[in-house]
Amino acid sequence: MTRLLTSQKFRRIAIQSTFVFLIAVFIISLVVTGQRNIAAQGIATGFGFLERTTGWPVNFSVIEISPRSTYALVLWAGLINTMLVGFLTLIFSTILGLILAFMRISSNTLMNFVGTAYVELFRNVPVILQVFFWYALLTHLPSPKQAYDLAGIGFLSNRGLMLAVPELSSTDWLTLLAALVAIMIGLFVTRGRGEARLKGLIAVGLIVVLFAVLLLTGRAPDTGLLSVPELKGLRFIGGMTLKPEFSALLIGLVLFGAAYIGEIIRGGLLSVDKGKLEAGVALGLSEFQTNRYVRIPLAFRAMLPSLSNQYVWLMKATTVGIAIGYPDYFAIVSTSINQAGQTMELIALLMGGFIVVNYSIGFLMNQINERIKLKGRS
Amino acid sequence: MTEVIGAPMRATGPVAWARRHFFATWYDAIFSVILGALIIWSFNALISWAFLDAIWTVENKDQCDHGAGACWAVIQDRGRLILFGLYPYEEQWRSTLACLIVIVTMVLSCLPSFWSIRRIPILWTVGFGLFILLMRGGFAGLPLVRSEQWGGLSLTLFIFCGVFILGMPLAVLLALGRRSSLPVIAKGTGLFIDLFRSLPLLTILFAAAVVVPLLVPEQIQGSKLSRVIIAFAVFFAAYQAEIIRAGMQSTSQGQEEAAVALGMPYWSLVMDILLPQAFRNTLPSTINQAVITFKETSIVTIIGFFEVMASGNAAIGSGEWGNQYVEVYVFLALIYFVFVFGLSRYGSWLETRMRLGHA
Amino acid sequence: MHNTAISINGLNKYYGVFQALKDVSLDVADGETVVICGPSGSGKSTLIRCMNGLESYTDGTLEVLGHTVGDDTKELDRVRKRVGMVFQSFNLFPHLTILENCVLPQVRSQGRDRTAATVEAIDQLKKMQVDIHAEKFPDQLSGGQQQRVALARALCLKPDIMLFDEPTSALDPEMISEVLEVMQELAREKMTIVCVTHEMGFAKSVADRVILMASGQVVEEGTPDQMFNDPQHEITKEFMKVVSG
Repeated sequence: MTRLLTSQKFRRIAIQSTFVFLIAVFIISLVVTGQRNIAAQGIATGFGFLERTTGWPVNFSVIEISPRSTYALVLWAGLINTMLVGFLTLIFSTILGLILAFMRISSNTLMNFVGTAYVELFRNVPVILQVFFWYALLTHLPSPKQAYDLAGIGFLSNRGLMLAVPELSSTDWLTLLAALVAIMIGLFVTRGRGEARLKGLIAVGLIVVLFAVLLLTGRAPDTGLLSVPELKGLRFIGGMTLKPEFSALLIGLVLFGAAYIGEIIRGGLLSVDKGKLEAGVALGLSEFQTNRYVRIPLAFRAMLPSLSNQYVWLMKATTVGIAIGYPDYFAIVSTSINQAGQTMELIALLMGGFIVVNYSIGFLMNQINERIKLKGRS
Repeated sequence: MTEVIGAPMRATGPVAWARRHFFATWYDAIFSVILGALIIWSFNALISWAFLDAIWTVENKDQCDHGAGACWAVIQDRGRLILFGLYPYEEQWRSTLACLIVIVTMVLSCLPSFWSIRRIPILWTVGFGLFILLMRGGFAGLPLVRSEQWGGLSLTLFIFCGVFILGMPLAVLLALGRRSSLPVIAKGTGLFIDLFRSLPLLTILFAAAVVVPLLVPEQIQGSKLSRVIIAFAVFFAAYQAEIIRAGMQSTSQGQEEAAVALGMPYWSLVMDILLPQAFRNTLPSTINQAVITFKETSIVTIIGFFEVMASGNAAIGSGEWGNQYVEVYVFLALIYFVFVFGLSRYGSWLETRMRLGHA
Repeated sequence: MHNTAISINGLNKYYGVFQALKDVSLDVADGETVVICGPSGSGKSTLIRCMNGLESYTDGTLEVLGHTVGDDTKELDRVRKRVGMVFQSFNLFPHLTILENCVLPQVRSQGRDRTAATVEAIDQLKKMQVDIHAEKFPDQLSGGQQQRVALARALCLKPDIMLFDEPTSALDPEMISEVLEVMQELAREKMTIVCVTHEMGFAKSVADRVILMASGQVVEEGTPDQMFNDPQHEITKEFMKVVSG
């Protein structure tokens, strides 16, 4: 018997089996206790609740929802809200981060100073505090009656930023899409240089004119091209409203994210071997050309893993929106738990949603990484 | 005969220095002028607002809503709320002392002389233990103050330290598990780590506060605060485990073989060989993780804990100071800044020191 | 008393489909110095690492000092406490001083108390002529010095057998001799030694037997005189020509 205990093979199997057994026991006890507690509290189980109407309003949504929408639809709206704020944050903070990175590596001392001050300021204060700050600022703006007028096409008040937007029906959107596709096909078919390219560009120009005419003539009577917000009583009608909940969250996340992304980009740029840059200069490339053809491509490859990590983090950070009332996915789930009970199912949906979104970003970045990776002996 | 061009030389002197740093190219010059003006203007505005035109005492409060400067009177009025939360007024000296002890502990653990596998745990057990004893009281004439009343900065520090103390050992276990040669354990811990790293912190804390009571028998549920701290610690451990694992990987495999060949037991391999080197190699990343964790403690305000972020909002929320949100938020930002900036500076200093030679 | 220190019979090792060791049989007597040589990929490193259980084998028997090296952890433990090993890349612990490198294994592996361990450590370091570096760290020493420290560290545990896995292959030429000298001294003191090396001078001076391996098999074995001056096998002749030429 003791011989068995000291056998390596036996030990390996025994340890792993015990491990699996303990985990199974743990999970099963959780499930059993959970079921008992849920039954005792009279909460229903299952995902049937998704087809019930919610009965409560949501203050911001991209898709059309109302208190008469189903839970499934409202949860979906929440997920879209998260992705909306998330992807806009990623885009804007990357742009701002790029600017910051170049400012910080610039030889101009003042640029350097401003860049560094920015990064130190925005990195060392928690993101939720920053979001609270912007929200307080935006909600302390004057009321709609005394709103700031932005050249007639927009208004800024404590209800949000109202902007004029193009008034387009669904056929208009289809027309635009068709135009875009036509242009892309045209450019692709006539790719190359010289005369072929010129012909291609002329064709694209003709397509643009054709579709513009279609857009302008096929309109229903009395609808202009723009929907402009107008003050009617206490509120604004028309145009698009960017609510302070959305704006504050976006501003806070973008400014915070840019500080981190700026540092990642800067790290990537600095990590490019000086020798390669000197080679570029020695070959007669201008500083701009060296940057564009040597430094940036190499830096991009170096910074991709850190950048992808930061993107995933920023996506998760959108959950602080609940603190200021932005109905992101987490906020909707949390309200649903309050209203409908079904805690376990909703938490599962919550975690599932985030895992899917994050793995998608990670997967996408991995694909990009694989494609652009420097090939060679690893 | 070819022309001889002299080698490029660097000009010296203050004019040349200014040219290089501010006016190297024409667009540089434009930027310098614009930025220079911007910097001077904002600096001036900041000084006026924060100091020159500011109102410092509560007596002059009525000037606040009309004055152009900062209304720091709100800090004088609400400062204690922000720092100590709802802790009883007469006992706040205990809260202050406890916070100081924790800060001293943090500073001491940054000194290389304390860096041993034995000293650090002892230091933190003593420091944190004293903190809890002082805050809680209930002995030697100190009245009992339950954890529900702890708030403000002291609660922030409590959460931070709790997460760190619970999370570190767990991180070591997870790291060892992931690099185990037993495939089931390696994959299992890997899944666990990846799962926790892909979820938002808020989701995990929320689940701990709301879901755990449903899944676990009443007797072992613990208070909401302890559940949240444990969940936060697991989250921290998942990230820290990856850092430690990277540190262990950079320790050459040969050392493990040597230890095995010398007949050294597994626990000795881990405690004497792998961990000391792993921690030393990854100290900058660990400090970075600590900085992030400190900032993340602010998230618990959403779950309903009265830490410093919530106490700040409470200070504003009460009608009379509603417009002074900037001053309060700046005060909060300064508190965070002190800890966070301090820790990150220390981290950079460490990194430089390690790159140049022995830690 | 075991006359045969190491007894290997029909050892086979597979890495998937690749066979690293083919039916290797080999005996090492007490006090013998055996040199194993051969082209790279011949399996000689694998073989020596099987002797203290750093590598496992697929089938065959392997007995060291009467203990079976195999699946049983207790037996393995006993073997490792009596067999020392010196590696190609020294494998000193970089965060410990030279002295601590030698003291710690004694304390942890054999439960010796610190004072006794320190005395023994200084003694061995003196024999290796590196005792003046006792308070330094490994990366402050040269390769040759580090290897001698590694040898001292192993000897502190008072092993009955010493295994050397290409101990001088990572050294600059001018430092090879200082390591070989202490190894030769060890051989003269009748320590049982198995050494994988390319240093034929060492083999000629102190080896009792030289074994040539190629493609995972033992090709030929004999005294240094036989192997260098009168090789029988084709592969041995080729190898000796390359090595001495």
